[in-house]
Amino acid sequence: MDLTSPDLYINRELSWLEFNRRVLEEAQDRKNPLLERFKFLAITESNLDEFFMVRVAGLKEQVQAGYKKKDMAGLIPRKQLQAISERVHHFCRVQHRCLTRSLLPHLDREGIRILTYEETSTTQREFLSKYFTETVYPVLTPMAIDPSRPFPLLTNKALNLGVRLEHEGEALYAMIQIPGVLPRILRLPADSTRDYILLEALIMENIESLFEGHRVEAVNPFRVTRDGDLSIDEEADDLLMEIEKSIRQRKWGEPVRLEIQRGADQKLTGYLRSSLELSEEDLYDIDGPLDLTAWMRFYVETDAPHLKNTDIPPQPARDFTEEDIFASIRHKDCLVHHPYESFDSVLRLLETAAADPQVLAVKQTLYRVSGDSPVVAALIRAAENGKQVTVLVELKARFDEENNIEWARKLERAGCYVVYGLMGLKIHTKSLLIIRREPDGIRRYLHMGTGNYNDNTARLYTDIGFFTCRETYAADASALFNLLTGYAKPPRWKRIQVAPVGLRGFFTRMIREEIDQVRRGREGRIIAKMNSLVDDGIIRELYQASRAGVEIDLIVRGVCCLRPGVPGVSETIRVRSIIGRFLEHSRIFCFHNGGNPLYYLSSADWMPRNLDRRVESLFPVEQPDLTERLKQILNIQLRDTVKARIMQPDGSYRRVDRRGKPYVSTQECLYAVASQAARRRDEQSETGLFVPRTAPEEE
Amino acid sequence: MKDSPSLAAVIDIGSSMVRLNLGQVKGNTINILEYLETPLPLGHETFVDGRVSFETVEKLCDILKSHHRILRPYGVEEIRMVATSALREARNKHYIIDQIRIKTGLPVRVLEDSEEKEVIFRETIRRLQGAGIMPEAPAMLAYIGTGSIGISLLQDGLIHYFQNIRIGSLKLNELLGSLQERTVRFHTVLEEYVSAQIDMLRLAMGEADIAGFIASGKEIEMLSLLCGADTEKGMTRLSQQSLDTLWEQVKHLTPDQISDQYDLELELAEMVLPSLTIYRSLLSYTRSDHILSPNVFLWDAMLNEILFPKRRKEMDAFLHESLLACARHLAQRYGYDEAHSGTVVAYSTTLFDRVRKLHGLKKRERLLLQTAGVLHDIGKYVNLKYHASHSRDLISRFDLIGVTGRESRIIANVARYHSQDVPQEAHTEYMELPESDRLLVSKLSAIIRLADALDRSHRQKFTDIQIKMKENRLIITGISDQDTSLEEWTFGYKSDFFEEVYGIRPVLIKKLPD
Repeated sequence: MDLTSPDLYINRELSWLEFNRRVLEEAQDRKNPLLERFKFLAITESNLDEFFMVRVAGLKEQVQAGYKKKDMAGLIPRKQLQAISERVHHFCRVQHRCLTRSLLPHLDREGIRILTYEETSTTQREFLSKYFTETVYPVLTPMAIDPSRPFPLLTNKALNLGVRLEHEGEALYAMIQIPGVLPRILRLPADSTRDYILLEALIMENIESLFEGHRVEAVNPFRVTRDGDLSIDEEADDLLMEIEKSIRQRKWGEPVRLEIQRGADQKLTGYLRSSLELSEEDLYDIDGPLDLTAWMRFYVETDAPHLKNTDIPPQPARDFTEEDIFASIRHKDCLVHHPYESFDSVLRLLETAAADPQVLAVKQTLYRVSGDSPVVAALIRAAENGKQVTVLVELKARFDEENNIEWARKLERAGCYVVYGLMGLKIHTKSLLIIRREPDGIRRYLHMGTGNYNDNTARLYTDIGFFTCRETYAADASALFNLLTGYAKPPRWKRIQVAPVGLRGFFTRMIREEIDQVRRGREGRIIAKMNSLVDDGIIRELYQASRAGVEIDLIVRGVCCLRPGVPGVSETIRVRSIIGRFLEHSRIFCFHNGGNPLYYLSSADWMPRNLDRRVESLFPVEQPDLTERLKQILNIQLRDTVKARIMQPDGSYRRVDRRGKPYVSTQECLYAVASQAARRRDEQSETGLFVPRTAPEEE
Repeated sequence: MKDSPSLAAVIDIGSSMVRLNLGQVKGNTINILEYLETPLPLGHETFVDGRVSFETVEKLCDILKSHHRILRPYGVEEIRMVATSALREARNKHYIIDQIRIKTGLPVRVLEDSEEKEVIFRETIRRLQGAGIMPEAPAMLAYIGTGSIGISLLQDGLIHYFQNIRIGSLKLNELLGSLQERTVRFHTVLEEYVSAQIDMLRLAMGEADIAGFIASGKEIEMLSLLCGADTEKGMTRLSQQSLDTLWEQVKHLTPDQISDQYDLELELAEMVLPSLTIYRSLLSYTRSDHILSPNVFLWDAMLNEILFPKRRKEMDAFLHESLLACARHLAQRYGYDEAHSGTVVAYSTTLFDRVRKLHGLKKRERLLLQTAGVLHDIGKYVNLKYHASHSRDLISRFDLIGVTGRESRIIANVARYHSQDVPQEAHTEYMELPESDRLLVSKLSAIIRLADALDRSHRQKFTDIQIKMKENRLIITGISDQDTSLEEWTFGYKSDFFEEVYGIRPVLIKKLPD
């Protein structure tokens, strides 16, 4: 049996498009509150933008370089681009149909209207006229193109108006960028309704005033997407400066996509396409307003709670029962499940450490943090309080570089020892180590997680954080930081596994162990939850395991290149994807191990980039109350009948057939679990009844 | 007494690696807080070029600075920074140490070969005792470093023989690695080279029937992985059979092939043949069918002794006795008069203890005196004429366990002046000693001269001696029923030097037994 046969794999780009379709399904789903549906729609659009900037741009580069290697599904880059174009064209039609035929009419019924200029009232027109002259006009920069002026550089992802003019019998073209500083969906004064108009409609209405002396023949909105992958010279002396330079360049990468309103002027379209050197395949005619990402801001700014999800505030973390956060961790290992449980525990640990005179040093990896991050603020305070603060900053976190550079500088100024990543490897592991002097000696506290130290995303992404002060974990974490700050050789790890040194080998070994169990007549079972499954090496191991009879449940939110349920190859593999209001982000791995299941958490997906090109970590969770919780989390996901989609052998996804099955919605369920635990905790402290827990075993 | 620190760090500058080991006391054990290894090819440069390049020194300083940055927040009370063979044998070691001090502000101590091995053997014995497996039958005890090997013979609970050999796994590879391309029988070259170096062991260890082989070395770990090992009371056990099998499998392979076949880093793969050669050759000198390894390393052993100074003290007696046992073992090879030598040691010790107030010396000097007592006459093996000078020349070239070069020069000079001559400015070897050591040599020789005089006839005529200090006299009462004229006469002229050094006149009074 040839397990490398292309038939057994799904192209990763096409699988990703399937994922985005599942997100779009959430926008289409009438069971979701109306404004939430707008949000999902906006997400599909920003997802798609990034997909073009990175993946499509990458494939185009390969084609240009004459690279003809087939991917694991047997497609050369050229073929992949064709397939992508075909699917995205279809996808965009569905996407905009959803907006214009379903979402906007529904919105209208709620008294929220997106008007055309013609539909506006007299008062509204007066407002618009003033607004245009005073606010819009001053920031517009029409760029006329003639033989003496070359085609202008159009900013990546910006919305523009393309204008075809006639001047003294000659055809001319001009471009106007719709100013990004102004709200795209503009609120209008109205009495009983909420009225809006799109900014481009207003500008189009006033277009003549911008080109006096010319006749405007045609005006249409369009948008250009460019190659956005950074090319960084890692050998550069100052990585910080190098990245700043390439961010400036990113705006001007090669064009990869042209979106233009359906029915746009033929000459204008042809002119744009040839000037941008794009093919027919890269041209997307959009039936409706362009750039759906604008609806995210609309979602945020529209005050209509009845059209949104009920707010579910993060619950206090159940494991932190004591006033003294260090005492809680000394008492036992702690687990926090975000966003059901609050990110405060992590912040509290950091903030306590920053102020605690007994704390000697704080070491942390930072990948993506929020703009005004309390994490960064706490680290700065710690440094100001004289603690040794070591921060490993990953500047190369995609599309966040600008933000990263800013706070990296802040940390440096505060006296933190800042290390900017490793040559050629992204640091993706999420670890925080606190060294504290205690009466019985030095003790080290450790937090490791599946998600970034970002208080904003901790309310939107499902992630798991783990706190411990066990010496073996702490020794490994120390060694990891020493490895990352340079000079040290990878040690022999006691508890954690670290990519790119040993993670791939670890997973391979664990999968093979399960095969062994089956061969010895026992049960073999693997449950793995991750964001993406792309690695062909791991997929082959899973096929082998399935052939041997290991039962495998995969919970893969995004891309999955494995084909489940193929006779003789993957009959015992089931793949499900859960898309909900929160982005599924945690990585949990469970190996049955002959009846003594082993649970691991990790920052890594099963992707070559995670296993071979990033510094990632994986750590075991061993304390019985915590493994019980991980088991529960996985079980709920596997029983989901509402938000789960089951992957089919052909790579498509279907909702669970709910007939005869109870209503189980993963995220609702897990929130209920967290609320219940928090209530129980409160009741206990009110009655003064504490349930003793067993202390972590001494190692 | 100063309390022992509860937190200490050892930085070990080795031949291929700089190591940082930070530990804290936790009950009876050490909790290692930081352990890290940073590769640096110091040995490669020293063993090939004889010196360490400026670029490498620069890198070394960077590494040491980063290690200190790691240590800083812990507020470590004691940081000990030591270097072994790669720096020890570098021609430019003094410049390097100075550079390190200037660039990092840190003092490095270059351990002498014997000091390094003493620390390791002390820890090894402690672990063997702790595990209750001190061998009863004679056993070979070895430490295989990357740049040198220390061998000793463990017998009747003491070390009886000690020798440093200046080969090691890395050094062997550096010296002979280039031959690999020129011969298909590289493994034979290795074996021949090693056996030529260590063949003298058979002679030196005498007729002892060596039943056990206990060895530590960094490559044990790798060999265990390659050929499978058992664990026995916390020690690694490698069978001869598995080593032989591995040898057969790899002996014709190049490091590249070994690296591929066994999935080893190339630097490790290069060590496989040289280290296998060394371990197998040493094992073949014993009757043992396996290697037992307590896996003792300098950085662990030193940390243990800093954090638990008592443990070091507890081993003092063992090491003192072992040094004397080694001295006797050597003296035997030079056909010494065991009874006379024993008498000189005994009288010297008694005199040393009785005049403590006059010399103000400590236990360590007492041991040097005793060692000189054992070895003082071995020069007679070379020639009876000027035998004391020959004793000095021989002694200063021995590897004595735990004895530094400076101490060995002191022992040698004390032996030099046990007979006719007393220290004088015309003696270059004496004058090369620092002033304080010259004084020490004089103090100890003054004592050994009296002790030797009291057994001038080598017939142990006094059954007992009693020593008393009375005014300006040191009255030594010797009990004997024999004619002791020769002793009395010798004592007479040898006591001048004692009086010159201590300002007190020794007087010998002979008394008949009651």
